[in-house]
Formats: sequence, C-alpha cells, structure tokens
Amino acid sequence: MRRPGWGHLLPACLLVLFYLPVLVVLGQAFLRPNAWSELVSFLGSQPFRRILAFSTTQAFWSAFFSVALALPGAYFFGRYEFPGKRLLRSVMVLPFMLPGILVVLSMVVFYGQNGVFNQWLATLLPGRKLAFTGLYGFKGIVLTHVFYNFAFCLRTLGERWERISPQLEEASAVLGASPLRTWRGVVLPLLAPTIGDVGVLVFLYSFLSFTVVLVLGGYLYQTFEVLIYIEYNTKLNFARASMLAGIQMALLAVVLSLKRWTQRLVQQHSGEAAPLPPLHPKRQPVRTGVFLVYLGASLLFFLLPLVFVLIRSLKQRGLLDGSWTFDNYRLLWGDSFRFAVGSDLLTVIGTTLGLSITVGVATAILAYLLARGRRQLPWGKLDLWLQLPMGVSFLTFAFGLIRLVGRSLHPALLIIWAQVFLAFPLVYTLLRTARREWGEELLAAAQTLGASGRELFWTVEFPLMRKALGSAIAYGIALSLGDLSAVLVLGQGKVITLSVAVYRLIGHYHFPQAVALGTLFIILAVLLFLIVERRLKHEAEFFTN
Amino acid sequence: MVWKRLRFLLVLLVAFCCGGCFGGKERPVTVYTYSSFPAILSENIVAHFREEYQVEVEFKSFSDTGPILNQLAQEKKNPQADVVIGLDNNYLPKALELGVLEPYKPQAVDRIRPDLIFDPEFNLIPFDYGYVVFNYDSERLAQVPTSHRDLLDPSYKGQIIIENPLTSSPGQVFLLTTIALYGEDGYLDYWRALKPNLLTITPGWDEAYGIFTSGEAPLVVSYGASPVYHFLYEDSERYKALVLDDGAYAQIEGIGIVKDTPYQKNARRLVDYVLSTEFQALIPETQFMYPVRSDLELPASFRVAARADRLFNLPPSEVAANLERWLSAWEQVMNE
Repeated sequence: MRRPGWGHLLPACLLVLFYLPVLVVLGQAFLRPNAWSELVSFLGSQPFRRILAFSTTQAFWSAFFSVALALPGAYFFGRYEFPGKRLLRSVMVLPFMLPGILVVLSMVVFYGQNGVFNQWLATLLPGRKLAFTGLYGFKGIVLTHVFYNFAFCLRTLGERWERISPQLEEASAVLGASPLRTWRGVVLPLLAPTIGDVGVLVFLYSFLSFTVVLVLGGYLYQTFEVLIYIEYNTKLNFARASMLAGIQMALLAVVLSLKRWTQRLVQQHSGEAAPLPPLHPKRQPVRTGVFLVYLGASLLFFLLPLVFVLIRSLKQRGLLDGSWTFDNYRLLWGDSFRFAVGSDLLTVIGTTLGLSITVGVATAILAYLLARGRRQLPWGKLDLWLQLPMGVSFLTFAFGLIRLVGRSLHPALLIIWAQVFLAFPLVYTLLRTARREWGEELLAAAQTLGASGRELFWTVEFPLMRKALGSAIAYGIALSLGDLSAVLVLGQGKVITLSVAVYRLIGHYHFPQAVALGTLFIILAVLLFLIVERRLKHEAEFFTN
Repeated sequence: MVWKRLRFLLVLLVAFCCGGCFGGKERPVTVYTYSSFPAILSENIVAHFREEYQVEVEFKSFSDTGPILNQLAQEKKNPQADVVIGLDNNYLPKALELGVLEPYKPQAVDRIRPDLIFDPEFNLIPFDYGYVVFNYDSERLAQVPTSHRDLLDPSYKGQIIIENPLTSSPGQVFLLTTIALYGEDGYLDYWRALKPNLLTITPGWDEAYGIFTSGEAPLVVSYGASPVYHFLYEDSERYKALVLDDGAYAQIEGIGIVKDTPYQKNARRLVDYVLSTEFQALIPETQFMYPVRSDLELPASFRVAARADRLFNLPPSEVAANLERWLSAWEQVMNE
C-alpha cells in the first residue's frame, strides 16, 4: 500500500530546499583561510560572552513570563465555553503578524515615558510619583517579548488542555484527591510537554529578536541577529556575518535538541476534545469572577496597546490629543499612498492575501503530509532537522538564498520559498504533536468497516484534525503577513505587501496613514483567521454528513 | 492519492523554476536603488525614457544601501544593472575599492554646487543632498540649544533620540559630525557625556522619528528638510530643524554608472536626465532633500528647512580609512 520511495522523497525535498541556502552560508563562513582561528578568537572574546549572557537571560525570562501568565487563561480556554471565545482565539494570533515597528510603536505609545499607562497612573494616584520608566532597557525588552508571545502560549496551551479528558480529573477527585493534588498528579504531567514546547519556542523567538532589542535596548543590549545585520549591512563583511550565523545556529541546535526530549514525553492519554461546559456566572460565581479579572488584566496588557493604534488612526495627524477624523483612511486611496508605496491599496491587499494564503496553506499541507507519514514514529532526528530552520537567522537564510539562485527566480517564488521555511517549524510542531496524540485505533476500525482512503480522510481524520489544521494555517498566514525581511531582501521592490507598505509610509513621513493601514491590516487579519476556522469547520461538517 | 497530486505539483514547480532560469530575454535598462526611493521619481524616469527614447527602464530595489553594493560586487563579471541610485558620500570609498562603477562627467557638471562634488573623478555624481541635524518638538522643548555642547546639559536627561551609527546612515553621519567637531581625541569624551541624555538609540530613522512624533522625547537626529513635510501636509510648524554650531554635515546622495554596462548610452542619458532642471525640481517636495543644481529656486515650503552656512563634512578618504576604527571605539565607549 505505502510506497516508501515517495514517502522519503518529501522530507528529502524539504531538507534540500531548506538547507541548501544554509550550506551556502556556512561554506562562505568556514571554507576560507583563517576561518577557524577567527572563530576561536571570537568565542573567547568579551563581546561574545556579553551577547550570549544577555540573549540567554532575556530569552529565558521572556519564555518564563509568557508561559506563566498564559497558564491560568489556558485553563479557562481548555475547560469552558464562553461567548466570544472564537473571536478571542483569532485575535490572539495578531501580534505575530504585526510589523515589528508597529508593535514597538504601540508599546511606546502605551508604556512609554509619556505613554497612556503613565498618564493613567498619574491621574489615579496623583500624590505619589509613580511611573513606569523601564521601557527602554532590559525590562522593556522582556515586556515586549511577552506581549508578542503570551497569546500564542495561551492559545496553544488551551488547545492542548481541551484534549485532556476531564474524566481523568473526575476520577482523581472521586478517589479523594484534592484539586491541587489532581492538578499536580494528573493535569500537569499531561500538560508539561506542551509547556516545554511553547517555552522553547518563545525562547527561540526572543533569542533571535531584532527590532525590539535594537529599538528598546539601544547600545547596551545586542543579540547575535543584530551583530549579523551589522556585519552584512554596514561592514559588508559577508564571511564574518556567515560565521556569526553559524555560531548562532549551533547554539540554537542545542536548545532545539531539548525539544526532542520534551516531545518524547507527549503521552497518549488524550482523546478528542470533549464538548465543554459553558461557564455559568450563577453556578460558578468565584470561577467566573476570577476568569473575568484575568481576562480584563490580560486584555489591558495585550489588547490596549493595539487599541491605541486604532485610536491614533482615527485622530488628526495621528496624535492622541488631536480631533477625530477619517482623513488618515481617506488618504490611503489617494495619490500620496501610491507615490510613497509604489502601488495602489487594492493591489497591495491582493498581493498580501495571495501570498499569505499560499504560504499558509502550502506550509500546512507539506507539514501535515510529513506529520502523517511519521505519525507512528517517536520524535526523532529528522524532526529536529525540520525544526532547525527556527534557529537559523532568517536574514542569513535570505542572503544564502540570493547567493544560491541569484535573482533568476521570480521574486514572488523566492519569497514563498523563504516564508515556507520561516513558517514550517512552528506549523510542523503543531501538526506533528496533534497528529500523534490520537491513536490509530479509530482509523483501523474505519478501515475494517470498509471505508476507502478518501472517505477515511474526510470522515475520520479531517474532523479530528480540524482545529489543529486551522491553527496551523492561521499561524502560517500570520508569519507570512508579518514578514518584512524576506519581502524586502528578495522582492526587488516588485512585491509590495502590507508590511512593506507600512514601512514605506513611515519612511515617507506618512506616519498617520501608516497607523491607519496598520489598523486595516489588523481587521483584515482577524477576518481572515475567522474565515479559515469557519471554512474548515464547514468542510468537516459537509464531509461527515 | 495525495501523493499523486503532490507529484503533479512538484513537476509543475520544477517546470516553473526552469522557466524562470532559462526563459530569459533581453533585459531592460536596469537601475538599482534602495527600497525607500520614492515611487513618484522612479515612475517619472520610466515614463520619460518610454516617451523620449522608446526605451524600457526597470527599477529593482534593495532593503538598504549595503546590499546594493554587495549585489554589484557579486555581479561584477556579468553586470545585471546599468545605473545605481542612492549610494551616498560615505559609501564612495567602498564602491571604489570594489571597483563596480564607471566614471562619467555629466553634461550639467557646471551647474552642480561645487562643494557637493565629493568625487572629483565622477564615479559617483551627486544628485541630491540633505543635512543630518537635530529636529525638535517646539511644544515640548523648554530650552532650545544652540551648540552641540549645550546638549550635554543635565536638563536634557532622557530627552534625545538618536540612530545607531552601526545600522543607520543618519546615525553614522551624526557620529561623523561629532568627530568633525571634536576631532579624534575629543569625540569619545563628548559621547561619554552625552550618554545619560539619550533616551534610546534606534536601528533606523523610522523608529527614531516615530518615537519622536509620539511625544516620547523632544530631540531627534533627523534631516534638515523633515519639517517641510509637516508644513506641507499637516500645516504645522510644531517640529523644527535645529542647526547647531552654525553648520551641518551633509549626506550627499550619488548616482553612478555600473562598470561594463552593455547600455552605456542609455545609462549616460539617465544620469543627465536626473541632473536636468525638470527632474531636479521634483526632488525637494518628494524626497525632502535639496537638489544639487545651483540654478534652481527652492519651493516656498523650504522656508522651514534647515539652512547651514558651513559644511562639517570630512574628506571621504579620511572617513574610509578610519570609519571602522571610529565605530568600534564608539561601541566600546557606549558599552562602558
């Protein structure tokens, strides 16, 4: 039945597509005289130690706080049904796709020296001189990374929690265990691998952080990515940039192999998500209260900076104290937009949607085929290799790609290639974990009942995987939407997406319009994510009936 | 079944790629530039060549100036571009070292303001320039400084935003300004004293200016013509340019012809067109930079732009010989 030839072809193709550009970069770095002595002297130098220490500490705290703050929310998302849950889940993918500069600026507007948060503090507690002044520095960097990743953690942990059967907890309670004991003995062990997983992911993303660290950290804090950029862009020293990229890859490969260990711990004690009970304000007043407080606090932290982007887009000249206006949106249709951006709004939106949906769906299909082929195997070396793109500096990959194929391919193809590379590890982890979590019994049973391959997929497999596929596509789309470097480095100015447009508007002083476009961007993305989830649900229902 | 479809897709993909590699036809006249070069200017050039000479011109843009030079160096044996727009005076030595440009003395050479000609051999020909100066928010800055020394006053603590000289060209020009003013012996002390007054150092102009207009700090390193934008489009004179010590360092942007281009004639035509009065007159209110022709009158909106009596510019060769050392010394001081 299974043709092993083709089964090996897909991973082989992917490995070639992913690693050929990386090899080019590594070749540049190490196939030259003095490369190794330069490497040794850099590893012994003080800047190396400083950067390593800073990157590791900030990434650790970013991961720690993201997960710790997300856990209580994951409980409510995984155990209860409540109005607005679907919308919230969609909104949670947002920070991933916002252009870095908009995230940083919304943090500045909200948490800055003269930011909204400090003005509120001053109004609420007039006598005491309380103010948050830590945005520009270590605290600000961690805060922004948590802002980026918290929602992702909440969503992923919540989805995992949904699939931990409530009967396990009930059984534990019936046997007389206290809630705390049940949590420690039953839920935590099942949740731990996912906690480890998202923790490692956040660690990696923060370790590779670029814009956030540079804007808020100034000269004091640097990551390897910053150093690579300086070597490549300012000092035009490709060989040294490649060497730094190689060091970074090696460091992150170590971190990623930790994942192999957590992935092996994923246990089979979980089934399909059971229908969840609604959260009843009358029957569970305490729980509802706690949830509302939690939700309020996290919305304040996570949503308000974005809300202020929206408010600014509706203000004269984008200033918070200006009067209300639609001017900034009106100007998006005018010539000034075309002159600054080089394309009109509808073309930009069309390009962006086409590109991100292609990348989202293609990545999900590739990742799913692979996850499916490897469903019975434990987390192994190949999985590590497919994960490693996450540890490769994206800038380096794009440069390697240019060295490899030059500019002979159409820019759009190059961008898709690079963005699939960018999105693959995250999408693959989601699908691999989800696909492994349910046993083969169901499929085997359906098969004995005489279901054909196609029926089997649409009636059994697809409905079970629906939520995971929805998440996978949504994250693929989000990463593509948010990507700026691939489009800038590989697009030759021919492919203009929304993030490029935002960047160009700011570059031409059209700051208020950039904020308006950012807002349109957010609304568009939420709609897109809602449609993806609904579409998949619809499909599942269609084929099961 | 799934595999069958995938196989089909793979074949398609391979075919598509081959098409991209081998289906080449004669390329149009190609210009390399950076991503933020205004579309209105590139479209103007394309339209002019189409009408006047029935020649197709294509613009390819790069994320920044550094990558343009990298690309030119890679294609040296087989040039894929004919003209490059946007390498500034500080990139001249690197470009000469790589040998990617071909000198051309433009027709309008007598009309260019003489002190802007930073390359006497015309490998890079100036086509616009701007001053890198501080801008300030007149609604938030109580005391307006008049010299760079004034900025060291403790009352400006956390009030200044600058760009990183390692990642940003205005940032680099500001570092050169301090070297021009205080010399190799003095600039590091200046930076030591300036450090406490900096709110943050951003990777690029965009972030710095965005934080500035968000009202976080009243002083930012920007361009002398930045206020023109606010004056033209927002009818506001709130943000002003600040000329300290009666002078400014100019960032002079150049245009150059790529060495061994097969389209020599059209490349020269393009350079001459960019220096024509017709094109130069478009620059002020689209690029927010000054035209290099001395026979052009500036638009009225440039009343709010900075005017500098004296250029601080260091000779490009001196910058080339020392920049790397200056930058790493700066980095060390900032990390102290």
